[in-house]
Amino acid sequence: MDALGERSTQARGELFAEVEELLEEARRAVDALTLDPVAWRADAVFRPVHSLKGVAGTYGLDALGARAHALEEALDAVRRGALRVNDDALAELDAGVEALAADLAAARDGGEAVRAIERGLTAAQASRLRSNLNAGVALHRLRGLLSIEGADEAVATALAAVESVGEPIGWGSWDGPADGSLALELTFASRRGIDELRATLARDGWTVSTVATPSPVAQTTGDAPLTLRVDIARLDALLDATGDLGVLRVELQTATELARSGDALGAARELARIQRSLGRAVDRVQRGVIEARLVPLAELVARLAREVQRCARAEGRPLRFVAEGAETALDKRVVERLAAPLLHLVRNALSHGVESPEARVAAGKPREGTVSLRARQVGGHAVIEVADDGGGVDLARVRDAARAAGAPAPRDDAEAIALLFRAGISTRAEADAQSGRGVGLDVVRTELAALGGVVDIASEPGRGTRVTLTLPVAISLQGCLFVSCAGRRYGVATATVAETLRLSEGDHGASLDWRGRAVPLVDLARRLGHREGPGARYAVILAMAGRAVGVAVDEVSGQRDVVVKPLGPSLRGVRGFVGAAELGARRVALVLDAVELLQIGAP
Amino acid sequence: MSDPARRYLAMTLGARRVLIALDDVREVLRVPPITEVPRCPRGVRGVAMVHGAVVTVIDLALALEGRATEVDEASRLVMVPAEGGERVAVLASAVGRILALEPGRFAAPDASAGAWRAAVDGVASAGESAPDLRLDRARAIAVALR
Repeated sequence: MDALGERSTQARGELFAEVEELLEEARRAVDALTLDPVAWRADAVFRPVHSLKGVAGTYGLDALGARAHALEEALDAVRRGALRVNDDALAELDAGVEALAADLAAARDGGEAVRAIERGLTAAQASRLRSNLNAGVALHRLRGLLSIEGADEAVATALAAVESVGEPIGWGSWDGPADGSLALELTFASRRGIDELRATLARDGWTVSTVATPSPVAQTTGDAPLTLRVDIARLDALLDATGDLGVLRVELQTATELARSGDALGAARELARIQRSLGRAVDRVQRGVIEARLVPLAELVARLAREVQRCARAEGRPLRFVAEGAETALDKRVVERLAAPLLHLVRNALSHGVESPEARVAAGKPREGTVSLRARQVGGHAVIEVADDGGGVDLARVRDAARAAGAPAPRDDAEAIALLFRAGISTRAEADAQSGRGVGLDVVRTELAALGGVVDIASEPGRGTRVTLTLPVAISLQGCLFVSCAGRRYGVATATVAETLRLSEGDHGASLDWRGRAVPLVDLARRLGHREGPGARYAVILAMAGRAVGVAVDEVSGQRDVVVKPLGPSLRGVRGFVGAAELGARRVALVLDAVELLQIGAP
Repeated sequence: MSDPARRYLAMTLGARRVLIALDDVREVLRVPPITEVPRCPRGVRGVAMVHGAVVTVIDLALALEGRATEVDEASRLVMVPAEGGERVAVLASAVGRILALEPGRFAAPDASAGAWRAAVDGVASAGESAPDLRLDRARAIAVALR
């Protein structure tokens, strides 16, 4: 039995969904590389393959892991510039990724039962069997003992009966009693339930049994809809709000009649009142929908706990997982996208952070290592900390690694820690099965940036490492402050806006004084490459997680809740924007990447 | 027997008549407001809202002839598939007839394709005027995004 066999269906589902996603990402990256072979896109293939190797290692999918490791080696050579990307190399990468896909398919539906059946089938039969399984159709077996006389007729009758309920795959024999009768079995695929099949087929001595049911994953990967359970009380509140909207519609009718009857003043007064009520009702609906989309982190936290337990079992290390604030709620889609980075951080803590029990005892610490997750909500943001009580980041080794990678020498510890976020810098001498090429943290940072969040690392030698993620709770409907700059309109998420200041004559330097501290001031027109506009008159102060930056703009034109949509993949090389929002009449404004701007204001 | 004819949509891009395989055309739309994107590739005119999604608008005349296409009553967006399932919009000064042409009518792009050589995979002579160009969709998009 493979290592997966004993796992729960849910864990299998999560695993395969994760691997499929990584594989898809690798495929897309190879496609991009084929079109335009530049180094940073090689990096884009490297990352998913690396993560895939980690997952395969974790779940004991050795063949998959070995393949990913080999592919990773090749990609690393491309990334370091040791191997030039030419058509041959691309064909090899492509073949490597497809081989991974084949390994994955084998790991997913390759139960021993199915493989045993396949051995007795022709290639064409085996292929039909696979395509049925992949399509989510279960496999069954019809067995019978036939006397030699009349066997032909019995076989033909059985075949016709099977064809009426499914697709026959192939005939075989089984170990029946040695009494001179023919022990025959027919493997077939059918979507009907086993009871119905028995009712139709189990007669004249034939028996029906189920051989293989496709894993639920096979049916749910791909475009599986994301579903969400909602507290009925929240829907009740929404229903109330829509009731209010209905009342307002009736009142509008009254106002219209007033206007018709010539009472313009009365109509205007009534309309003003309705407008205020309507504003409140729409706010309630919006808030209600946003709240209904919130889910607690608990499910994801349970998955992280499993990961720690698995590691403890697999490596025989005493490990403890502590979680606080699992009830912290975030938008469903944010939680979905947080899974990969959080798993990455927990795996990092286990493989790089927590020392061996012996080393811990020698250092005067408890044998048992602890990994903890603490989540809380601060205003419109969630703050999630993943910490371990391990040895902390070995800064000397980070400096060595940076030197080896040709990066400029960090001037202080903070800069050295920042180097951990750079692709290609690792403190591990050799890559191991789980992690350790220094690709982990830059992936986490990229993912968080996509969610509008930031990552911070704090480390204390001998005491442990703490990684803090700060990100907005909701992504769907965002409050945006709109500003003008050189005649164009841009939005910026209000969640990051601390204050809007009027600039005075002396405030046009590289920084300005805000709440007693010097904050860098960015001239938006210059940064975006627009010709200088009428001159910036306002500064929008963005602040998050201890960072602050002032953005100088011409005008501030007000705040609105909008749906921010991402720019197309064709513009992925364009930095500075998280997406665009429609302002009505199909006009579109770009929404600034506040996180990128805040990097300027890092403490 | 000659190869069967394929159908093409004729577009005016910059100074040329450019044919795009009808199979590559998803939709032809009036031009909605286009928002410029700072620091974007030079063949990208900006982004626009199409059916609730933000699409990239590419201007091949800008990329290849260095002159931005003027948006007026006659101009159109021709929606074409790009890699990864994305749809991008090609900004055309005008969209003309649908033509059926046999593959044999096209010759390999030569000097007559001028600046467009990097984005086309065939030229078809059209009497006295400059020859029609057959767009190589993938290369044209790549050129615009360069």
